[in-house]
Amino acid sequence: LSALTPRRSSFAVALIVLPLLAAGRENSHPAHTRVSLVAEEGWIQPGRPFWVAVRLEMDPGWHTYWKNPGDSGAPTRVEWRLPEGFSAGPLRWPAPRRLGEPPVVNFGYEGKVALLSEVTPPAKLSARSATLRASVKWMECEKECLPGEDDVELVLRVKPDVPPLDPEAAEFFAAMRRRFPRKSLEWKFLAQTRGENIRLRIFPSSRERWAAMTFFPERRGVIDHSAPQGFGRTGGGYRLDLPMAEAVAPPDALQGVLTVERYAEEGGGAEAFEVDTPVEPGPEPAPGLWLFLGGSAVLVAAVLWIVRHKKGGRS
Amino acid sequence: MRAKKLFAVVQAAVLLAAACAEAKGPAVGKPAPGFTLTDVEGEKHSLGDYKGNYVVLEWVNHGCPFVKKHYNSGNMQALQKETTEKDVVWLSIASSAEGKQGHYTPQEWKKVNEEKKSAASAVLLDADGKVGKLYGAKTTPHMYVIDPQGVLIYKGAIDDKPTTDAEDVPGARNYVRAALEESMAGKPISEPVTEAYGCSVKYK
Repeated sequence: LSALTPRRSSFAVALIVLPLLAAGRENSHPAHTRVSLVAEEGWIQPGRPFWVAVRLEMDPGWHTYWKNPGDSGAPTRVEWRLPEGFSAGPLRWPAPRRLGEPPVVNFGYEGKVALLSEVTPPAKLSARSATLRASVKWMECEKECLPGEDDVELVLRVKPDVPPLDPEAAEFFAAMRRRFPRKSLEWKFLAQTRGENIRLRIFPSSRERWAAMTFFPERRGVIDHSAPQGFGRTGGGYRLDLPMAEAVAPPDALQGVLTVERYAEEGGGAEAFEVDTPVEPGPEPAPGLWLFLGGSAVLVAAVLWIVRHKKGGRS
Repeated sequence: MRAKKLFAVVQAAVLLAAACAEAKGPAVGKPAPGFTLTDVEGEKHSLGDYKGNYVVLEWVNHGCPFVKKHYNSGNMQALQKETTEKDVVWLSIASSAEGKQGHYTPQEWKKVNEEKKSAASAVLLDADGKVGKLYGAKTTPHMYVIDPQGVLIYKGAIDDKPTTDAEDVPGARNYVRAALEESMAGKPISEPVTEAYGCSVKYK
């Protein structure tokens, strides 16, 4: 396996070769989701932080949830139990997908997903190996939902020297990281209230064309999860009209993940960005946006009808 | 012909507006929409029958882990008891479609209610999901509180701990209790709308 060969579907390939990697013990569990731990590096060097993946593999048709599960469900939770002196960083979540149909839309994962955390070992370690343990709790749903729970562990050797690069592990982690939202200084985001919507304006870094965009709010109660997101072009970029959740006041800021998809004929694929932008008060179009839109539709229809009717009368 | 076309356009606009309004359900501060449903004993209940009382609507599916959290811990029944003792009418509504999780025959329901020690005033059957969709019920549980004038004063979650862990019940802020207590004391409701959490309602 060569890590240098560029691959389109390297993520899928990485998942196929994954069983060859030094994966953690996989506990048997009568659930529809299997959990395991995978480390990026072959051993622990004292004081050197390394990444660990909490891998969840769902049966076909089953899904688990993102940190904001959407209209129902619950996020996966990972509770680390690490040897003394070790610490784990915050959990990093790949960009989710919209699952289900209105009135209930969820944000989550199907198939395989890996949640990443950076583990820092202490600078001094006398033991020859260390056991990383995690209690993982999740909600798995198909038509019905079941809470799942598993304790997983991964034993790693401790060696004084820098672990060598393992091309397979490196490729697996690189493929997983491509699914993570990234911070971008080049992409610009602006949010403004528009009646009952928040209009998120998106200014990509290049003139590349995008086929679709979807916003995933980090917190519940900000936007209506199941409502369609009005996607379109706007001066110099794109826009998403996000119907607000019913709340007392519009939010001060819009935080979450934006996924952007390429046209299939341009190679397809998607990217994801972190969004954190203040919500500015915008122009107030009408107290009831629907009244306004409905009225416009009736007017336009009436004008069209009159014009056509007149034409018809003349001929 | 053209008049028909115009009519079709107007109709489409109205239907679209109605569909959007329906997905969200009734607004807090507005009259709660009326309905009539049959309970597990075969008795009919109309919301209008209970003008003059506070009414709590609870969407329920006993197969759902979030509902189990509140019934296995006794939390839901305790709240049902506590509120109905204050003349609140508590209506549990099952919108699970036939063949889906949480759907039972009236006979099975009587057994389930006994097992669960439900203290609701009535458990209403809504297998076609009409009332669930009328209220925009998304999850089990999904809670609504209606005041004696028939105005919706609360909709959303049962409490502020969106988990399936029964250990989270004691430390949670129960929004339904809070809304009832505040309203009965003549105070404004501090949190009239929250995000419901739970399993999706198993509509057909």
